[in-house]
Amino acid sequence: MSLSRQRYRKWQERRTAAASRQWRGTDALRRGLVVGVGLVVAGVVLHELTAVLLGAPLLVSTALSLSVRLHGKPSVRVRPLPRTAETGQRARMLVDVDPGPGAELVAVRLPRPNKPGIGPVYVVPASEVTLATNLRWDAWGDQSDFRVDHLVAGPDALWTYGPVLGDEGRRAVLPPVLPMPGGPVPPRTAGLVGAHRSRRPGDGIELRDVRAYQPGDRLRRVDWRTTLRASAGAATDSLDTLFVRERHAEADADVVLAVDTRLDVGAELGDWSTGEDGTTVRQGGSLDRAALAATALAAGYLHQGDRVSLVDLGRPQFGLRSGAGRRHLMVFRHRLLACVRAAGWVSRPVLRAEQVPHGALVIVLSPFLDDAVVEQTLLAARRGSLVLGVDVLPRPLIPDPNDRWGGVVARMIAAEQANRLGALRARGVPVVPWVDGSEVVAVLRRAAAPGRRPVVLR
Amino acid sequence: MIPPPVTSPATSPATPSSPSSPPVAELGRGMPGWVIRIVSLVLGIGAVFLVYPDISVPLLAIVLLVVAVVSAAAPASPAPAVLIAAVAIVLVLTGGSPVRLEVLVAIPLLHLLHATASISALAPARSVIRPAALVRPAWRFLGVQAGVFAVVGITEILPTGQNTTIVEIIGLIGVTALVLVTIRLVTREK
Repeated sequence: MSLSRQRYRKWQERRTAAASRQWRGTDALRRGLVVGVGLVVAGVVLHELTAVLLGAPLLVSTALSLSVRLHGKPSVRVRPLPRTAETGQRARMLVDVDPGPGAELVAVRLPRPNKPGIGPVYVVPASEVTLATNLRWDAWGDQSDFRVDHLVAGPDALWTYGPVLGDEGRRAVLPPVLPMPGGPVPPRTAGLVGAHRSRRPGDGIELRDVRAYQPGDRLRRVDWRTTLRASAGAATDSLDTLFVRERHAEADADVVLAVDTRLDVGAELGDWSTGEDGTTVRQGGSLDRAALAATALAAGYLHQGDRVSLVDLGRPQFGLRSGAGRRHLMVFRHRLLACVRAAGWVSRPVLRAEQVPHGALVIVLSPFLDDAVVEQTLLAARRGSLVLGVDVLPRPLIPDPNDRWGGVVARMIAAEQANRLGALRARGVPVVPWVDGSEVVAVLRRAAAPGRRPVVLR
Repeated sequence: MIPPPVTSPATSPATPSSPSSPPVAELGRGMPGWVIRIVSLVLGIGAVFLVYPDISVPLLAIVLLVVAVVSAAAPASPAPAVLIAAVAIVLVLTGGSPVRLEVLVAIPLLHLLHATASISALAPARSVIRPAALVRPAWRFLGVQAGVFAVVGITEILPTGQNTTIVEIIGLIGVTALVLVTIRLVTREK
C-alpha cells in the first residue's frame, strides 16, 4: 500500500471516528422529512387529501421526535473487574450507561450471560442505566472477554450518537490446577532442609536410632532414660556408656518443569499451520496439555512442600527460579501464562546446567517433534539429573483431509516421534504420554522405589 | 504444608449496590433483531399487495416487491423511503375517496414500515431487543395514528364538494406551520 493511500486511509478513519462521536441524523430522519413533507405539501398544493393523510404520520412523528432535545455526550463505563481469573470462574459484569438527556434507545454490545465471547448487541431502553451480565471463563489463557461497542439513539432512532468502539476487556485466565489422580507425587530429596525424611541422620524430628555416644554428639541428644536403664544392670554405679537419640535428616526435593513452548499443535494435522481465534493457546493442543500437566505437577509437588522451578525451553528468560509454597504456585501459573503468551517457534531449545539445581528431578513436557529437544533432554540426563519426558502430543493424529498425502504425512510424523521417544528410552530416560497424570506418578513412584539407581535419597 | 489446590469454579461476589442506586437490568432473553426485519418485510410486501390491483404495469409490482425485500435487508438504505413514496403515489394517482379502505389501511401500514425500518437500522439482525425498548416508540405510534384518524374523522364530518376558503386557509397555515416547525427542529443546534 502506497504512503498516500495509507495517509488517506488514516484520515478517513479519523474522520469516521470523529463523526461517530457526535449526534447525527439517520436515514429515518431524512425519510421522515423528505417523504412526510413531500406528501403533505404535494397533497395541499394538489388538493389531494390522500397524500396529506399518508404523509402526515411520518411528518408528525418526525416532528414529535425532533421536539426532544438531545445533547451531551453519552458514555458507557464498565465497573472494574478482576484482571486475572480462574478457569471456570464466573463474575458479574455491571455496565453503567449515561445516555444523556433525551435519548430513548441504547444499543450496546455485551457478552451473553455465562457464555464466552464478546456477545451480541443488546437494544435496551435508555431508562435502564445499569446493565448486568455474567461473565464466565471456560478456557485459560490471555483472552478478550468483552468490547462494549455502543450506540445511543434518540426517539424513533432519528438521531444517533455513535457507533462508538468500546474499550476491550482483556483478562489473564490462569491455567487450572488439575488434581493428580495417582496420589501424591514421590519426592526426590536433596539438600539439608525440607519437608521430607532423608535416609541420612540429621536434625529432623523422626527417630532414626538410639546408639552409643560418640565424640561430636550434642549433649542434649543424650537419651537419659535409656542410659540409666542400661547402666542399672551394670555392677558399678557410674554411667559407663551414654546413649544418644539419632534422628533422620529432613530434606526437600527440587523439581524442574521444562515446558516446550515452541510448538502448539493439535491432533488435526491440517490445523497445525493455522492459529486459533480468541485465545492464545489451542484448546486440547500440545501447549495446552503441557501447561495443564506442568500446573498439576507443580501443584502436587508444592503441596508436599517441595521446591519447583519452571524452564521455558523456547525462551529461557521467562523461566522461574525455584521456590516453594502456595504463593509460588500462583507465581508459577502467572509465569506459565507469560510463557504461553510469548510462545513461538525457535530452532534451538535451551536447558542449561545452571537452570537445573543439583540433584533435581527434571520433567520435560514436549510433543518431541524435533531432534533438538531430544538432545537437550539427553544432555540434562547426562549431567546427572533424573529426567522424565512427558509426551504431550495429542493422539491420535488426524490426517489433513484436503491433502492426498495427509495419511502418509501423519504416519511419518508418528513414526519419527516414536523413534525419538525410543531413543530417549534406550538412553535411560523414561517417557510417558500425558493422559491424566496417573501414568507420570506411576513412573516417578517406580523410580523413587528404594534400590533404583536413578533416584538417590541422600 | 500448604492446603490442596481448589479446582472448583468460584463465583466472585456481585458489586453491592447502594439503596439509592438505580435498578440493575439483567441482560438475558429478548426478541432477536431479525424479527423486526421480518415484520418490516411483511409490512412492505403487504403495502405492495395493497396497491397491486391499482398497478397497471406488472413489472412495477415486481420492482416494488424487490424494493420491499431490500428495505427489510438494508433498512438504513433509501429503499424504505422509495417504497413508502411509491405506494403513496400509486394510491394518490388511483383517485377515489381519501377515506377508502386502501388508504385507511395504508396510513398505519406505511407509518409502521417507517418506524420498524428506523429501529431495525439500529439493531443488527443478530442483536437482542429488549421488549421494554419498544414501548415508547409504540406509544408514539399509537398517539400519532390517533391524531391522524381524528383528522380523517373530521374530514368525514366536513361537507363534501368545494371546500370553503376558510378551511383551505386553515389547512395551508397548519401544514406550513408543521413544515416550518419541523425544519426549525432539524436545524437547531444539538
